[in-house]
Amino acid sequence: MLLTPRWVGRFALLVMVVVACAWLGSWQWGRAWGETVRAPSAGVAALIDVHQPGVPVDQEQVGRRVTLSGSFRPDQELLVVDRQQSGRLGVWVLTAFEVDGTGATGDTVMPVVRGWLPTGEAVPPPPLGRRAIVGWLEPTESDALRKRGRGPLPDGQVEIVSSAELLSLWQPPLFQGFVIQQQPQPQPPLVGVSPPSLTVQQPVDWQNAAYGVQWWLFGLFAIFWFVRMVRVEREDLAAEPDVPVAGSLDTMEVPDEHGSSKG
Amino acid sequence: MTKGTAAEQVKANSSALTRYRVMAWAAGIGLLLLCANMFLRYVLDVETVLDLVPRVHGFVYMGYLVTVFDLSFRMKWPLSKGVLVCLAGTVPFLSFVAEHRITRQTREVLAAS
Repeated sequence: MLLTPRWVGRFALLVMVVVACAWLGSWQWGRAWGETVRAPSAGVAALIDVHQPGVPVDQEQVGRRVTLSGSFRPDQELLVVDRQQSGRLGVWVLTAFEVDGTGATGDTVMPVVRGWLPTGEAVPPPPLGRRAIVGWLEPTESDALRKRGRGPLPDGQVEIVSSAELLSLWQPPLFQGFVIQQQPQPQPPLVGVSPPSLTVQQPVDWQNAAYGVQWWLFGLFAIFWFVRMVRVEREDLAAEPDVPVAGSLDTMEVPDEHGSSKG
Repeated sequence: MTKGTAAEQVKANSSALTRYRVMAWAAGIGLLLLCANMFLRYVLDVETVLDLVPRVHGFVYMGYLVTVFDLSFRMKWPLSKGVLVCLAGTVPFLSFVAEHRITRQTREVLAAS
């Protein structure tokens, strides 16, 4: 009965409006509440006390400052492309770091971001020999950060710091997650990277929150309007056989929908 | 819908028209304030009390939509007309033009019934 092209078209329009409103609403709502909010944990812990090989980085330990002693492997280094630093595009220099005293068969590797470089700049080699570094513990990066439609990158470049991908590029055993070096401070031309997980707490933006709610209300309103239209149409269809075409307007009792129709 | 006498219906529809007119003016003025706010905020880069307008205007517009919705079913408008009147509320000054025309049309229809 309501499966006419007109109603199918109206329904399609409704779906589009509702989807658009829902999407715009969650976009504004998301903007209002900001990104990950986490205060940096004060203390420095030994890596092995807060993170073990073979398991993902504990949510509680994300952004935690950890100490690692061991040595860099100069032959295992990757550039993580498309990284912003103060509005400039560059790369992260990611180097394998063998952590002393981890693993029975060989030392376990922790990927360490040594710093940021502008695109095209020559990469300084990592320091050799045993050393201790302090850095922020970060979880493996999400595949959602990958750019869609990007072709394969040249050898030695990766798009994200993915534990799964590193496992196939570097010799296991590997820690999951990675560390962003804080100390010793990266030497020029390397620039220190601030950890993405420690984004500054943003106050709630009530304007965006209000916009979000408003978009959702518009979506609900569209549904409400559609349902009302369907009901009116059904009433009209049901009433059609009984209602004379004209002449009922002068009677005292008339159905509501005729009270306002054109005379 | 409840049934009523023709006179009662006309009266109820007139009230719906009044509600629509009030909200059309509120939304129309709100929209102009919104434009003024955007000019002050993004062009002149100053903060004024008008910064409160964006937060509430959407809800005022929502109220406007409800009155358009009510009137459109009472007056048996085609869907396109209802949607166009709703959209008119988003264009500065056009909301006043639309309000004027809808009021005139609706009064003619109500007078004839």
